[in-house]
Amino acid sequence: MSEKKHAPRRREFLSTSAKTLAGATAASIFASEALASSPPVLPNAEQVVAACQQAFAARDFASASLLTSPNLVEHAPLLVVRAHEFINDTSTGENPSVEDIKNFLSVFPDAEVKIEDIFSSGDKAVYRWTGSGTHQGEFLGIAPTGKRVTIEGITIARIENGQVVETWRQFEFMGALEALGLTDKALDLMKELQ
Amino acid sequence: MKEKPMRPREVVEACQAAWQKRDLETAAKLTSPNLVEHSPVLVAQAHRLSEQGAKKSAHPPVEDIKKFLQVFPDAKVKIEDIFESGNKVVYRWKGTGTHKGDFLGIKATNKKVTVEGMTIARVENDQIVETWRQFDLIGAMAQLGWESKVLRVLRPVGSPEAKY
Repeated sequence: MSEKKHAPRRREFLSTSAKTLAGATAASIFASEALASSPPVLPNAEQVVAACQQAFAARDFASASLLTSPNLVEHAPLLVVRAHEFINDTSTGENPSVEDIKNFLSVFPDAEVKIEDIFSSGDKAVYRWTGSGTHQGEFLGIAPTGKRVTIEGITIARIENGQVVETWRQFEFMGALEALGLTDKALDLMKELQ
Repeated sequence: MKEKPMRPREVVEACQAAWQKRDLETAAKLTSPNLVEHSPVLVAQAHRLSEQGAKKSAHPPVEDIKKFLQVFPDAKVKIEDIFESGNKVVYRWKGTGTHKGDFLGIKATNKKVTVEGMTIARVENDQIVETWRQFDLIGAMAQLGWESKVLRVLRPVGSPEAKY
């Protein structure tokens, strides 16, 4: 599918709902010819989040990168923070949050995130999501289990200039670990990392 | 003499403020007795476990707060951020309390625990009618001594796997 062909023009974009926008890509938002010749009209927080999720779902990392600040500040549950410390620094100089998603996708290649609810106010949006995927790669040093897991969570995102600049995430990590039969092992790993 | 309706955000803030002051009567007025709660599966399991054989309360959500305060009597919740849209509110919170009673199968440790989380609440007629909550359960458990015992306690109740 050609992105250019479906790029929304500026006026249309203003009245586009988040749902319709999810069908457009970030590239089309930022690189649209209509935008280039007029003052930028930035999408609201909900639209940015929806477009970003859509980009990840389509594995369109170029668009995801445009919609996410390279200086993203993330607030995540303790185990996620520890896991980050655990993962060796294999930075490629790419947008770090996109790199994180790529790392995640190497563990759960078929990962899907469904947005169950979304709303925004001012520069912040919140979305409630259900993620599912099959554990096919090494995770926290633990060999793949081949099990499919579903996890629910809530993310608040702060948007500046059409990009996600800060996120706060909470999700049922323990439930997912338990479903994978990894709780004891993960907790042991965290102890070691303390 | 009904005052003008409260904004959803005001309902949530007033309810939080009420139970912080241990004014459970006001908290009860601001929360529907038929509140629908969506909690992490493990919390829901623990809840089911604690309700086995218990008498149905007239106001279950407030009864839950009372039970929670038996475990963490000095519990305090600080709202770090809050915003609303339509009839929904989301607030990001930080709770602290001293672990003085049996909690998810872990005996009192007398440790002070801090847990971060977020809650989406749906408000109707000046009452909270539905909530979705997520919080750092692993972080809290880590502070209580890295116990994964809770999972072994909960495993036999129902079939948690079915939900995942």
